[in-house]
Amino acid sequence: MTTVITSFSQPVLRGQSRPRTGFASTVLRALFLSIAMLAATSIAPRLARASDHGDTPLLKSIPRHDARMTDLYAFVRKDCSAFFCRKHLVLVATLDPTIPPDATTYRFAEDLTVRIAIDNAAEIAFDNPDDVRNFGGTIIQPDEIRERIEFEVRFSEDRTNQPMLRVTGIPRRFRHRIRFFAGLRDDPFIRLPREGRNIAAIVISVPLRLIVRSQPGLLIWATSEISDIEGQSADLLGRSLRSMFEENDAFNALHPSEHYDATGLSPDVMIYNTWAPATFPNGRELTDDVVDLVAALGDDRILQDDQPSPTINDRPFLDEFPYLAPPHQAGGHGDPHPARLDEIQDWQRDELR
Amino acid sequence: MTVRTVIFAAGLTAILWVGCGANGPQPAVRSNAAEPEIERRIRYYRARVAAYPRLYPAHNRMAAALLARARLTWSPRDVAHARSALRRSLDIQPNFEAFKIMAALHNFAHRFDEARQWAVRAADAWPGDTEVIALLVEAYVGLGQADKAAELLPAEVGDDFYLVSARAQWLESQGRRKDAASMFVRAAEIAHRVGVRDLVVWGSVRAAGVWLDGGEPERAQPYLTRAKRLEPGDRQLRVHLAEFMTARGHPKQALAIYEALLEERDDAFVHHAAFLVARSIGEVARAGVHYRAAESAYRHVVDAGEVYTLESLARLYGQARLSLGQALTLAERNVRYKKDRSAKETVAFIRSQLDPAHTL
Repeated sequence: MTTVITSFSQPVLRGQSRPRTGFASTVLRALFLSIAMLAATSIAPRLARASDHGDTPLLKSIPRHDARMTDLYAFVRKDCSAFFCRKHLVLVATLDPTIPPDATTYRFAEDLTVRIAIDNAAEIAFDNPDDVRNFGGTIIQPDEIRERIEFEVRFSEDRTNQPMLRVTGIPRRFRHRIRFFAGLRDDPFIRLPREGRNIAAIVISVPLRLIVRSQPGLLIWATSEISDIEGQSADLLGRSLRSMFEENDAFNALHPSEHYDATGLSPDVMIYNTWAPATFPNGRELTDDVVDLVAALGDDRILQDDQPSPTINDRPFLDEFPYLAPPHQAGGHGDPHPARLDEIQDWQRDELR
Repeated sequence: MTVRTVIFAAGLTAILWVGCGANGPQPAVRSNAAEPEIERRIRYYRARVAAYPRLYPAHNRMAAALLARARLTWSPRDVAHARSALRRSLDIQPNFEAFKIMAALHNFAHRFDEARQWAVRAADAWPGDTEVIALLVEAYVGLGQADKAAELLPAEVGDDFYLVSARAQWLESQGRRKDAASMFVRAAEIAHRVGVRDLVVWGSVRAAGVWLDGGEPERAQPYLTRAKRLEPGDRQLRVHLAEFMTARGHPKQALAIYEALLEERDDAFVHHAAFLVARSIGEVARAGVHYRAAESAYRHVVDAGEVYTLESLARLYGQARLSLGQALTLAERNVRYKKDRSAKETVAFIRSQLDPAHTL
């Protein structure tokens, strides 16, 4: 799920919203990289307890734990008013597995950019049982994946640390229907190592009909990016428990459209057929215990060194937005006020299209 | 117990910051090429925090860079500024990285109990981080609690560089020289496998240091030879080579090495070592120059309220048989912070100088 893109002297190469890889051009850079590889080799079994909680050794070595993406969820909820109910696609990205247990507030770094991208026009087939079982479906033309809808999240530099959302691919007149939250929450990852732990969460809820148009299948992925003298970094999250493994590390530095050509493997994106219930690997519900589910697929590396774990979250999820449970030790008041898109329209006025 | 061993008691931290981005913060692992890099980082992060005063990761990185420079310069100002940057970071957002750098900073500053507390907070934030485990081991060794350090280390450290290095340091603290040297060599082999030459040199030099401390320079030679082949300009290698020369009865060559190092950069420890060698060959005037330079630098740190040169200064006085009363005060003050074997031996050494009837 994650990779760090390092570049000392060279500018970061960027395509259209794509994290790209710079190149290690100095001995120093090689040193960092090697240490990171060393760390990756040595700690992989322990880190394998969580879906993406730590597959960024180089990112750790930069070190920007706050930019490490841990989990991505996508599911549908009904949002009901007095008169009618509307289906919403809910996207949840979580970051920073190292938040101290006693932290009751969370400040996102102002140089962090998080993007959640959706390709709602990719051709997806559901007739290959193996692909359906492992990835949720088959992407027919993986090199044509692109972000047709994108939610870009940044944070203000001032004391308020106001989250700012830029949306592309959704008509401006509908933006007031998008709900947006960024702040500290209980980590929804179910396994024992994350019990009692908080996470930095970004939650976006958008009417499903604004997303799903000609077909029900979506490709969803999330990235984080920071830029620093010690390296450019990027982290990618798609289907749980893929890019964290060493053999899939290349995913983190590439755009999903490049994954197949580079690795011969199905791109690391989440496939979500919205006509079917969200359950891993078709989207991902908050209640999905992906460790057990991946182990059931035959990949039991994730269970190495694991302890018996609960199969439900340690705090009940909310029935309403932002759905994640309030943070531990914060009494539910430790998070910033959820920001709605219409509160930040000044920033995005020129960005929406 | 050599001067080097006393001063570089917090030796393990040297390697840790490589992984954190500060290239070889301590002479034990850094090459000369890293120095401009450290300055570049300090300038960059200073500008970064000026532009983004609430960007706490930038405060962390600046602290790491200042610590890296402190390892070169022994500057208490850098230590204070690093501490201040970390406090600012934690004021903005409690975070794992600041805890970890705090632990490393306090290990460097020989405030091992505080280092332990920061490392525990880091371990709470991100359990199982082997770098944090290594910092904790270092803190416990500094506190003279080797049994607690041992509890942290798994029976099989595998190929984890940090754990292997931490175990090597623990073994060294236990006087298990052969095992410690083997473990440092293992660390060097891991570094070799992943192509990190600086760390191959570091592991080899540390293995050599174990045998030099044990009074068996001939067993140190192959490791020094290996390191010299890889990185002949490495400062810590050259310090060890000077010790090797001294041990093999070539003090003049040793002094030449020390003075060459001092031409490159002033260094309290090298002055201290040069003083001892110059004195041993009757070079009284040169010895005096080096003595005064070492004393001044050590004293500067103590006067700034730091404690990481207390033991070195006490030893310097003891070895010079000067200011012995003050030396004892310093050594006894030192053991309030640093409780390892070296600290205790320093107290005993000073007492033996004060009272010849008192045997070591």
